[in-house]
Amino acid sequence: METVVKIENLVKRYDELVALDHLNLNIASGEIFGLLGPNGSGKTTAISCMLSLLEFNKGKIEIFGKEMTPTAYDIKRQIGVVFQNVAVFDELTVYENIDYFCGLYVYDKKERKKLVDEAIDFVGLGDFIKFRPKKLSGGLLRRLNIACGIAHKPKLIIFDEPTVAVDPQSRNNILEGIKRLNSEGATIIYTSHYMEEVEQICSRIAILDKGRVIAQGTKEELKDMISKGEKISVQVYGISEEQLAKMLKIPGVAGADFADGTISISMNGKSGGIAQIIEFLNENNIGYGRIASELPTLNDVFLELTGKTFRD
Amino acid sequence: MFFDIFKCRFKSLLREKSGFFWTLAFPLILSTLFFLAFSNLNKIDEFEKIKIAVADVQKAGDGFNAALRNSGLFEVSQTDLEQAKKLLSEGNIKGYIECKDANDFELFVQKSDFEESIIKMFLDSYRSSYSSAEKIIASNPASAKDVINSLSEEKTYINEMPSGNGNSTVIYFYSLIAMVCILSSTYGCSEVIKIQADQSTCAARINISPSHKLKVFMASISAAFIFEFFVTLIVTAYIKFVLRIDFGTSMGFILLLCAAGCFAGISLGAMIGAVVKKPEQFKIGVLVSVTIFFSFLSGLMYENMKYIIQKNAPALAFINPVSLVCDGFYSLYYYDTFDRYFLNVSILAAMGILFSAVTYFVLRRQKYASI
Repeated sequence: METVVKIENLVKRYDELVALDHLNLNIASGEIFGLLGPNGSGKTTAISCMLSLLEFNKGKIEIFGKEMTPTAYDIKRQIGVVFQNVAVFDELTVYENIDYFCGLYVYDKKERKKLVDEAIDFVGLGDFIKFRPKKLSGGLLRRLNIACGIAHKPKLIIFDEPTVAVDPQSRNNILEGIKRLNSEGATIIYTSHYMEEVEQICSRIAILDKGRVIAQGTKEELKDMISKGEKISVQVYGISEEQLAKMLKIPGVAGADFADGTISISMNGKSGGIAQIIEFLNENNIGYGRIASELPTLNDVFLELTGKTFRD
Repeated sequence: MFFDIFKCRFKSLLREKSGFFWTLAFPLILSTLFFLAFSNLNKIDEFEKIKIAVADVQKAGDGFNAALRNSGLFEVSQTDLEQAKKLLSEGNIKGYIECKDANDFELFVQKSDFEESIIKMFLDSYRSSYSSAEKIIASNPASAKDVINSLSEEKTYINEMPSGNGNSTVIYFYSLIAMVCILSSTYGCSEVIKIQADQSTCAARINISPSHKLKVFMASISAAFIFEFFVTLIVTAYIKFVLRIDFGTSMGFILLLCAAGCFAGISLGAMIGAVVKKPEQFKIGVLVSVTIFFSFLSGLMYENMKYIIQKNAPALAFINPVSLVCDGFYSLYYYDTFDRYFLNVSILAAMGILFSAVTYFVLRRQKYASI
């Protein structure tokens, strides 16, 4: 697949602090690529360098096969950005704001009108075109922010933490919208520190920590990188030490503990063993109630790779 | 693209209520307050002719009659004695002169005040001149013709002044308009901030677009200039046509000076916005301090400051855009020639070009180490 973004050995320092430490990324056309990392991991800095908003100390950035520079207007024309902070003018109406920002990309008035109307339809702001931003709710404001970033129909769209401080309903709308844009052909870069969102929509993910990519791949590939596997919890009336030891011999079972009427079983990385556990319980006449299965998360991946959780 | 951005920015400026207040409403209110405060002072400068009556003027002769007329001091009613007394008692005149002979007059007034003193001074002067002439003719009859000619010459008691000349309070109004021009610097600064990616997310959005940021800036700053120019004209028109403060005669020169002032102001703000590498509030703080300081030096807060600067540091007046605008208006009002006016307009234009050039070079090379 065609490479849309290629970042090689990108280094960005703020005095003593190394914000990006030899960052390497390859993003292919048609992907929803997630940049996942805790606050301060370098996601926004990477995006800013990518957009030539920031100077960097070392490295190379290519977008659509050409080197990205502040004056690479032919590349810029194909990029849209939805910033974390709402970036609109308070004195202009919804329509005027979208028209203004679209006008920076599309100079033909007729074409622009069509694009602005489509963007308004896309984000569902048709009833609010004459409203000023201050009269919009938080969710509607986010939609306006998105419309301003995508109205010119870019081929590469960067969403920089677009769901921060957004209510659940608006968050779902935003995520659905991103999927729709991707299905219409846009390559998406999605930065977030919400791993659930990244898992939900991204086809490939790079996990950043301290300015470095510590892991990269599909969510399945990332989870396969760690030893931790599925965790199964079974409510039982009782189990003997002997039966518990026997359970450890089931292929794929890495550990089993009994406490407060619940057996907690850890499976090896690639094993899925719920059927084997049920079979074991039946064979050994162990009465059981509710069975729950918990798959490893990206937080588990981050924890195992860095020794800390996302929220640390 | 230029016109679309220009239109959007102009709309934004029109809808910015706080900006409107400080650039338009505040100067209008302040000028009205100046007008109310200074209107009584201005009345002192106006001279009204003193109403008097002359009884039996035929006894004094034509010379006296002519002297009264030519003095320009009096509005004379020629009456008989009874009528003159009646006019004085009714308060219709300040006094009356009873003529008994060519050089024998008696003055009657109801009170001794400024205007009554003027009548007395005139009579004393006339008597003195008449007596001198009599003596000269008596001793040297050959000079009679010259003496008569001398007495016939019109003696000027009041000077014809250019309209408003000497009314120092106009300085306050001129300084106020100059301040409005230079306050446009806040718009210049604001437009620069709007394209600096490290100052706002909107600016970052502009920077990532394929439109050249200096082209966007040119459209925005043009909108700010036109907006501020109109605001300045509204304030000037209010002061000239509603408050009737004199600016001289030519409206074209006033427009040119306002335009030059706004250009210098906007470009000053843009330069400070570009050169000062600090957050927006800091830039605005620097700018407001600079404009208030310039306004102070031009005499907005203390009229004599203008003269103190001109006496002790005249060069400062030539690099202070507020003083240049203020002096430009004053020269239109005061001088018959336009030398000083055109000098000020030229310096303002040169300042604007210099500030714009600095802004261009700083913005063109501006990259961001952090945003």
